Amino acid sequence: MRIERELMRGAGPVAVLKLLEGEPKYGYELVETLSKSSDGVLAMGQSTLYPLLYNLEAQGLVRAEWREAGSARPRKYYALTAKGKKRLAHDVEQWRAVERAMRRLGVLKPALGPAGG
Amino acid sequence: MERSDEFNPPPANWLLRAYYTPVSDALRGHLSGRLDVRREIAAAELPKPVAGLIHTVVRRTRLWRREKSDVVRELIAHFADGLAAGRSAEQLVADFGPADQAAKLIRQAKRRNRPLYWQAWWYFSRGLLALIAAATLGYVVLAARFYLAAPDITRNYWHEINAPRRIAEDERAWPLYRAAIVKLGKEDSELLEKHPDARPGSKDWPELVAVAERHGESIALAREGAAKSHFGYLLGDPADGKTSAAWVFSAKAPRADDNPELISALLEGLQALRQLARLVAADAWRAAAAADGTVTLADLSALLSMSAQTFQPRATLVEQLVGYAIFTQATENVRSILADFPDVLSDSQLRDLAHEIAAWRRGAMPVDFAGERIMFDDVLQRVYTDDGRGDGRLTDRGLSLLPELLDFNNGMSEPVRWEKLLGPGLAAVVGSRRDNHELFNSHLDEMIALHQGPAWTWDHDAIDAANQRLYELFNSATGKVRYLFAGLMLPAIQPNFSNAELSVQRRDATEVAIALVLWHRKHGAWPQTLAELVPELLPAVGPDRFDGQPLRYVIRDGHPLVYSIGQDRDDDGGTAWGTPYMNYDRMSEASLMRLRNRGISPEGDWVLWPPPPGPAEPEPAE
Repeated sequence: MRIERELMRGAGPVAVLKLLEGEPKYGYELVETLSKSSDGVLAMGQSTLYPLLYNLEAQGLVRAEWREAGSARPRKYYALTAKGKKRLAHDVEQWRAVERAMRRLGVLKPALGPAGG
Repeated sequence: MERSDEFNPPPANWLLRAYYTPVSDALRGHLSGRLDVRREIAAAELPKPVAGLIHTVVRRTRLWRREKSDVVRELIAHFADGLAAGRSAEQLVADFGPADQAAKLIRQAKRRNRPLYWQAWWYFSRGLLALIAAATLGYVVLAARFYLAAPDITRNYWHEINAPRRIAEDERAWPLYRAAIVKLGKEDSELLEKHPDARPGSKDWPELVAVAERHGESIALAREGAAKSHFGYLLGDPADGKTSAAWVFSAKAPRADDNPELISALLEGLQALRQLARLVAADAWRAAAAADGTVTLADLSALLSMSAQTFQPRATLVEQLVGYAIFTQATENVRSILADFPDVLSDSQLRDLAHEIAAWRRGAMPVDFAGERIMFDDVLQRVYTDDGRGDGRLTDRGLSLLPELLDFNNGMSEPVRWEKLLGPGLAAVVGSRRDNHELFNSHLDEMIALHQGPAWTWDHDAIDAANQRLYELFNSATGKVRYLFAGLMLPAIQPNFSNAELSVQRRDATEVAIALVLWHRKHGAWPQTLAELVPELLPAVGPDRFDGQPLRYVIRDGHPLVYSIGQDRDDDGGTAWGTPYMNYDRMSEASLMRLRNRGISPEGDWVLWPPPPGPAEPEPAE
């Protein structure tokens, strides 16, 4: 299932920031990971991913760097900045609040235990 | 998905390489050409659909070369990774999404990464463009409103002014004056204008006498006209246009029936009437020098009557000014002739003359602006639309009248061309028909209210404040434009109030002069005070219009001296202001201050009788 464009507009940047929380990643890797990790729900067209990355870069949330990987062609890697980390934490908190609200409204099923959700 | 452009590798061309070489590389002497995206794509050896897609996307981003190069490298890496992961070129192209959308989003995102100065410039230029677009759109709307609007000329004010002037032909003085002017001819008319102050004994006097003798017929016609009950001067009278006196009337004199702009009424006949009055005055002097009291009286009476006639119903400002000018000329001539030829008129002739002067305009000097109000209403109906409720907006046709109005006001004859282009914008800021109508009429009403009663009771502070308010309004950026039309016509009205009061002063002084001559004949000496003339020769001594006290009178070296304290409002003992041409005709404190500020000191008195030596008294200000 693919989600609506408007919802994706809010979810996409958080998802990308989350994927970059660990190691730096390059474009194609992000596309693939997004698609696989979200069962295709958050798969975004590649024509959308790169502008999203450039926007995050413009906001100072990610940092881009060209790297040579052995004999392979150079790739542009994206890594989270300190500002990006703060934003991610903030956005995650917001998504949790949304999730809680959705559960209370019955849009989502209640969590099964204290660790749920 | 839209089709991608077919990708063709770039030709090997050193010029292209140079073009796509960054300055830093070029400075090192290396023509790298590394900003050439086509070269970069070709070097990646990607399948044609992929290469075409990358090229299409990058080309459509319209980014800077360095930015394009960066995007190309990233997309090449992306597709290479996809191919390495076992995807087909077609699948990768399909997954990528629409090239146009990608180009657009990439362009927007990449621009956000540009330096701050560029961002500032970009937003500024976009804002500016939006502003220009909005202004252009607004101007188009204004232009449509402006050019599609047309004035609705429903009234013929020529006929409205002429209506009360239309009287039986045999009661009209003007046809006789017109005939007299035509007979006078251009050359002698110019001669009269050239020597307005020639008196017996002066250098130019023989020439003037010759003119008077040559034109006995015109003088007789003038006297005949003066005996009529009404002036009967009609604006735009076709009969004036038909006259053979082309030097008096324009070949294409406007006709009332055609209802052109009322301000185009040339009033040339009135200007010519001034020359006819000069001819009659010259004849009065000629007769006085020849001790012919009968003719002298007839001429002086004719001048008085002629000047009174010009104040016909709904007289325009110009007509009133001509009336005041001829009255000034008449009374000044009476006083001068009495000084130079005290015995030319008999006692009974002097009494007759005194009664005529006292009866001039039935003794009243109402300041009448009915004609000016009509004149302004006519301007408004030609300039503005009419919404039927006294309001309207500026029109293109109306604005084309501006040069004529400027000419009317300032004597400016330069055509104004900018109004065609600026018209719609001007229409947005120029006040409405109601704005201009209300200001014009409210200012007139205010000034009329402030000029009630004799001049010494006027509240000069209030008058000056009202004038100053108007002056500041017309000199402010907004007021000048908002009240464009009221501002063109209002400033001309102010002198009329002073003219009326100063004419009363002249009238009263002339009555005193006649009474003094009669007293001297009876008693062989001058009275010690003017009060002695009352009631035998005068019902009362007229007041000095500058302070309300009786006219000043002294006997100096055995000769009488009648004077007013004048504009400085100080009694200088009858010492005449040294420069008689200086403007006596301004009565307000502000005008006195303005004179002083210009280094002109109007100190001294206004000597009324006998006239001080020097040029004749100045004529009313226009």
